[in-house]
Parts: sequence; C-alpha cells; structure tokens
Amino acid sequence: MKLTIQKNNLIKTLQNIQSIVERKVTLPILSNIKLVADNNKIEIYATNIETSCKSTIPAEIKKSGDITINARKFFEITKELPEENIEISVGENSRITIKSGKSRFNINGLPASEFPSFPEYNEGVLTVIDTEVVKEMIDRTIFAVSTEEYRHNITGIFFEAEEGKVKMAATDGYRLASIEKPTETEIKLNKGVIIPRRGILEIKKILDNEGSLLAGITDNSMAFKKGNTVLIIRLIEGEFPSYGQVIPKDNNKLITISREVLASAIRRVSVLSSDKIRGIKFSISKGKMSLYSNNPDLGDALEEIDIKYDGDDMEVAFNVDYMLDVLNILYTNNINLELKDSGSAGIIKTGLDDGYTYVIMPMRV
Amino acid sequence: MIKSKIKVMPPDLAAKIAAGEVVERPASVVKELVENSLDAGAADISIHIVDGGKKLIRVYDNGEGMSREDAVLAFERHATSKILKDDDLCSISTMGFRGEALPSIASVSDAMVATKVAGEIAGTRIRVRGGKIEDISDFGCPDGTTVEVRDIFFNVPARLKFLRSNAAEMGRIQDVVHHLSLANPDIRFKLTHGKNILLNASANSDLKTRACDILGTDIMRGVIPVEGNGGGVSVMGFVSNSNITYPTTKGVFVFVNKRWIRDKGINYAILQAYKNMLMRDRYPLAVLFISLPPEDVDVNVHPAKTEVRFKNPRFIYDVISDAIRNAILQKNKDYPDGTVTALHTSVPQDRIREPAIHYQTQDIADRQAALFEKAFHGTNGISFPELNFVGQLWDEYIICNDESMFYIIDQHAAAERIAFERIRKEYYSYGIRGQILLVPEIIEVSAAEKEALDSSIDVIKDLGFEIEQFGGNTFILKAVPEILSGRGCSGLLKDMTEEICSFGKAARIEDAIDAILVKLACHSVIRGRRKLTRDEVVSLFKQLSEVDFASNCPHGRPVVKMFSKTEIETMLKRR
Repeated sequence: MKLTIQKNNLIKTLQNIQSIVERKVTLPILSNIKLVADNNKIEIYATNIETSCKSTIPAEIKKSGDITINARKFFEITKELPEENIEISVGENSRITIKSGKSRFNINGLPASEFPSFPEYNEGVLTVIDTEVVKEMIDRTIFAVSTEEYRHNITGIFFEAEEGKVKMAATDGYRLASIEKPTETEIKLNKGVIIPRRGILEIKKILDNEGSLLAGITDNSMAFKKGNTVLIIRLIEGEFPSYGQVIPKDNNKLITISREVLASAIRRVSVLSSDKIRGIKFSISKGKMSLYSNNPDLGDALEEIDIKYDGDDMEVAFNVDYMLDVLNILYTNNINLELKDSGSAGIIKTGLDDGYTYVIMPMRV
Repeated sequence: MIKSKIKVMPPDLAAKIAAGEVVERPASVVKELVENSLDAGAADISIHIVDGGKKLIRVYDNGEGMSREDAVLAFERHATSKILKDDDLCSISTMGFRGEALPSIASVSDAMVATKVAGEIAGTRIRVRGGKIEDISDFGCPDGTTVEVRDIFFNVPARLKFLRSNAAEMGRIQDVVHHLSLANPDIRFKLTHGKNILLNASANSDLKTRACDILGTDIMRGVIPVEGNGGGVSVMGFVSNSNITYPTTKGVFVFVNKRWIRDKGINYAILQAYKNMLMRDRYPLAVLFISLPPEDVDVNVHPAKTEVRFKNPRFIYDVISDAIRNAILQKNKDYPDGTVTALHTSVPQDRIREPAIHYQTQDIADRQAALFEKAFHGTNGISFPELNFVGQLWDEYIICNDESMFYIIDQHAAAERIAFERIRKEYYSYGIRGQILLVPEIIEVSAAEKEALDSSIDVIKDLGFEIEQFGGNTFILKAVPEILSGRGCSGLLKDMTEEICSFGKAARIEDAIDAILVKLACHSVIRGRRKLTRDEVVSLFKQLSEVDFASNCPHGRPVVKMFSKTEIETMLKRR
C-alpha cells in the first residue's frame, strides 16, 4: 500500500472517529482503524462493535492495499505533521511509514484481515430524512437519556414512526423528554427502536457533513449516511417503557413563566443546594411563584418571581438539574408548566406547536 | 426363590455409622471428652495428645467420677445422666446430653476409662476396643475420670484416610480446647502435644486473664469490654478496636450459654456494629458470651452442637450489635477513665455442679490481671485537644505527643472522618427526600422475603424508599431516596430484602447511602500533601474529639497510630 493524502482531508475524519475507538479494549485490534486504499480513495473503518463507521476520503493511490493502525497515534501524528502532503506506505511485517516534509514515522500496524468486517447494509433501503428535524429532535431529548448501564432499555433514544409522524423519547426514570414531528417521507418501521446514546453522539457529528441525511433499518442495526460517512449502529434490545401512559392528561394548574427568569432564579436559589440535596421547593399562588432551597449546613435561599397563573395555591419540589436541563435546551421566551399536585408528574412545554413534551417527577418532601 | 436384598445392619456396623456423626476427627473426640469432664464438675482438665490425636488422646479430669455400674452404662448408646424425659430436652444446661459420645468414640477406637468417685477406695477401669468391652477391673487411680483413646478409626479405614496431617489435626484440637477454656476460665486447662505444652491456663482466672493465655497479651491490649442486655438476653465479653483485624472470622469467638457456636447471623451483627471502621472483608477479634433462657435456643440442631437455632434471632442480633457499638462509642469518648467493668466479671456462673477443688493459683492470676490492666490503660481513648503538636511529616502526617505516647495522625483520614460524620448527621437530620419514579418498578420476591419486606415497609420508607404491595409476591417501588437516584435501586432493594430475611435487619440501604456520603466526604476535605498551620491542627483535633468514631476514616483505615515511650525506649535499647 502506498498513497499520498491531504492532511486537511484526513484530520477531521480521524478526529471524529476517536470516540468510536475504545481506549480500554479486550480486543487490541479494536484500538486500531482499518485503512483500505484503492481507486483514488481511501476508506477508513472504525468500530467498537456497537457502532461502526466508514469514511471515504480522496487520495492519490500509488499502490492499493490495506492495513490497520492505532487510531490514537495516527491522529496525534497527523495533527502535528508540518506539511499538507502526507505520504503513507506499508512495508514488510505491517510496518507503516508516514512521511511529511522532513518528518518520518514508522509505526507497527496489524494486518487488515484481523479487523472485524463492516456490517453489511443495503444502500437502497435508506431514505432521506430532514437533517434539521433530526438535529432538533436529538438535541431536545438526548440529555434525558439514562447513563446507568444496568438499565439497558433506557440508555438510548427511543425512535418510532407513525403515519406522517416521527417521534423520539428519552428518559432516565425520573423525567422524560419526548418530541414528535411531521414528516413527508414514508419511513418503514414496524416498531420503535432504541438507539444507544453513544451512537446518537456519533450521528450528531456527521450531521454537519455535506449532502443529505439517509437512514434506514437493517436487521438489529440502524444505518445513517451523510456525505462521505456511513454509520452502522447496533440497536439496544429490550422494551422501551410505554411512555405515552406517564404523560399526565389531567394537569389542570397551568402556569406561564419567562424561561430566562425561571432559569436564573433556579440557578441562584440552587447555590444553596448541595451534591446530596438537589431539590428545591416551588410555592405557587396567583401571579407568583417562590423558589426555596435550604441546606442545614449553610442556610437557605428564597426568590419570588412573577408568573401567569390564576389557580389554587400549591407546593411542589423538583430536582434542580431536571429543571435546568430542559430550560437550557429550550429557546422560547416563555414556557408552560402544567401541574396537578405535589405528588404528581409535572409537564413543561414551549407553548408552541412544536410537538415537545417534558415530564418531570416531583420529590417527596 | 428371590433372595431379599434388604437386611438389618448388624449392631456394630450401625454403631460405626452413628459414630461418624459425632466422631468426625480427633478434635471431635477431644470436644466430647472435655465436655463430659466439664459436666462432671472438674476444676482441672489436662489433655494430652500424641501425633495429632491419631495415636493417643488422653483427657484427665478431677471431676466427680463414676461408679462401676455407671461407667459400664456409659458405654451404652444414649445412656446419659443428663436427660431422662422429653421435657428435659427443652432446658438443657449441660454441655453433653445426647448420650452418644462415649459409645461412639469407643466403637471406632481402642478406648480405656479409669474413674473413681471421691471417697471410694478403688476406682474402675474399663477397656473397650471397637465397641466391645474387653475388660472391667478394679483400678487404683486418683479421684475423677481419665479417658484414653488410642488408634482412632483403626476399624474405619475410610475415615482414617481422610484425616489430615498431624499438625492440621492438632490445630483443630487446639481450637476446640481454646473454645472450651475461654468458656470456662475458672477451670484449669492444660494441653500438651507430645512433649510440647501448648496451653497451661491456671484455674480461677477471669475471662481477660484466660483470653491473655490464649490470644496473647499483645492482642488483648487493644480490646474493648462489651456488656449489654435486653429482654432476657445478655451479652458480655470484649472486642478488639479496629486495629486488630483478621481476614477471616477466626478471631470471632461466640458462645451461647457457654457453648461455642458458629452463626453467620451473629458474625454479621458484629460486623454491623463496626460499620465504616473496618476495611472491607476484615473481621475483628471478638469474644462474646451470650446468655439467654435455654428454652429460647435450640442447641440440638447438629450432633456436633456447633450450630444453634434461636427462637428470636433478630432480637438477639440487635442486642449484640448495640452492645458492641455502645462499647466502641464509649471507648472512643471516655478519657481517661475508660472502664473495663465487663472484663472484671467472669463468665456467668450458671454451672449446675460446683467445681470440686480450686487450685491455689490466685497470685499468678492477680499478677496477670495487673499486667493486663496496665497494657489496657496504655491505649485508652486519646484526648486529641490535649496533644502537643510536634510537627508535620512530608506535609501529610501530623506528629504529636503527650506524656507517655507518640502519635502519627493521617491528616486526610482524620479530616475525612470528621467530614463524613458531619455530612451523615446533616443528611439524616434534614429528612431524607424521595425522588418519585416516572414508571414504578416492579419487584418480585419470594414468599419469605415478602413477609420480611411487608413488616419493614415503614423502616424502608424512613430511608426514602416508597414501596407498595401490589398483590401476591409483587411490590412496586414508587420512589427512591434522592441521593440514590441514578443508581440501581431495585437491585439494592432486592439485596436488602434478602438481608432482612436472613438477618432480620437491613443495613443495605444505609450502607448504600453511606457509600455515597463517604465519597462526598472524601472529596470535600484536604487530600494529599498540605502544609498545616498550628491553628489548623488545633482545630482539626478539636473536631476529632467531637466525632464518635475518631479512630478510623470512613474507608476503615486508621486515623492514628501510636507508640508508647516504653516502646521507643525498647526500640533504641534504652531498656
């Protein structure tokens, strides 16, 4: 294998795949990436079995061939190389030589035959979906995904499609973020799928690529293609909770608040919450909401804000993180808070017809 | 004609099989014989062993002895002087009672008994080999009983083959003698193996003197007396401070009504008392005597009588845990007059027969007691604010002293312990808040666990968990403590249910909460090297003195190590 490639073309791909390549691996080959050079292009493969990625970059191929190389070292070397032109060649015993200007690196590679094969997918089944919609849906739900490995079925975003609608939902067992958007393209999906959080983060990275986003389901995986990159993500097996049931239908205390005013009040009051006490109390009365937090160690904090509300007085406590997470990703001036009582789930919506519903469970005080 | 295959066993075969239950190895012979001696009211028991008991086990006692008729009868199976009717079985206060020991032993060895009742002119000697009486004759011997067991298992080759090395068998015998002599400090015990004297414990000792004989004076230096009772159950004895620990339960000696037993529930109760003071998987030294009415405990669970069943285990475990915890607390608080009351009293005197003679060894016992007293007081609770700050080592350890001791204090461990106690107090005083779950979790339990969980719902609720019965053996978990949200709570709850079921009490939740508080504490205090000013050290000491368990950091590492002036002088050959 011998080729010349432009540093700029290579570097972004190498950077993107670092998060796929595992640092601590039981299979040493998985800390490598596979390079396949042929037909004036080079294909770069990375995988952690759950997520596999293939990127194609133009290159001047002098001699075709393949090899695997340590992903991290290859990236670090490329980043620091002095010249734009990089020459890569493979000699005896999988020895890789990287030359640029007056620098020269010899790296021990491993034969490409040992690298796991890229999952098969049929490009024909992929359908175009709106990049902006996907981006918004991911951004508004991913923060609620559980990071507890043992609760397998909620460590990803649930994705489902109905006639003319796509839906995403994520939960960690204490709150739920869900969004639905109309779509014109027909998406063939018999039942919802759970896309793992790490895979979603990889999708987000390729959304900036040129071209339109293609997606499709193959077996137990989902394929995404944008520009020069293909991602195959193995789906999480298991049942996502039937979240429709946990969205309350009879919350009758409707409050409208300025998003920024509420967020900054929560931030101030929560200065006096602590690592172990993350709850603050919200007392609601006509036109007014007071936020109260108390830390036996330090003292307490109280702030009053104006709200639009005309119902009965009530009190409820929420975890500040669950509140701030959602206030931070919304962009409207006002938000609507729909409550029932101190022991029932609350709902946060933007007030627009944007299909977004956030459910937050209160704390017992 | 069809030949019948099932036959009644000949009596000697049946006897050998039955013997297997009681006589497993030389140590079990020693146990049975010494227990018989104790039941005979002996004040002096000598045990002589040759070749790990494979060759010879000889137990001599000065107890009341047996008449010729009784001695012959003693070799009959289920002949016992201790139980005559069913009711007696419920009020067993003697050590042996099954009437199995002597015939069982005699059926698998070459046994000889020489016994004489005080006042009689001559004693009786009986020789039994492989269960058959070979000789009965008059014999001149001292008052009391001597039993010799030679060539154990000579007629049971299968068992002989499974005996371990002489040293290993001897080790087990030693354990047995240790247990029995700890439980009977008023009686003289002598154990020899060939020419070596392994134990020579004088009569009329109290528990601490006896414990010094067995465990060594060094170890006994750091012990804390334990005393507690409640509802007819009393606990007394001592435990080590957290400096002396073992990787197994070998330092745990538990006696129920003076009988040494093994009970994992009690071991667990002991560990619970030490919470956050021991390193993971370490066990303390603990010698505990638990007394309770005979009808509340079933000792007839296993022929070797090392397992018992309590009528009300949960309650007993609580009494034990509380007694130890109080003792540790007391020890850490009291200064300078940490009392050693429990150690002065000896084992409860509930023996049914009075010891025959008391040997005149009081002066030795007194001297040992005095030595012990001194050693004990030497390491009593430290009064931190009164220490003289000498300096800091490598910006990590605080060096200080008082009149007689030199201390090295791990500043991080000390600060961590203070922070942990503070955070913990705060956390619980604030009232634990539950985070309600979006989708309640369903927990399936077994029938026994269901009962346990049902009865503990309120306790669990106080800790922030909200559980409801959901019909059958199913519960739903509706809320979890805020601090545990984001962790595997249903797993925790399951573990805890099992725990409630087997130990009658759940520490799992508190443990899980503590684990997080420990982490918070660890990160909120000085870590690694830091130069401390005198004022900082003074303030640290002041806070340490206000903390209940100042001697260890919440991970179980010691906070302070100390050396006496004497030790330093010895080290430098001044003494």
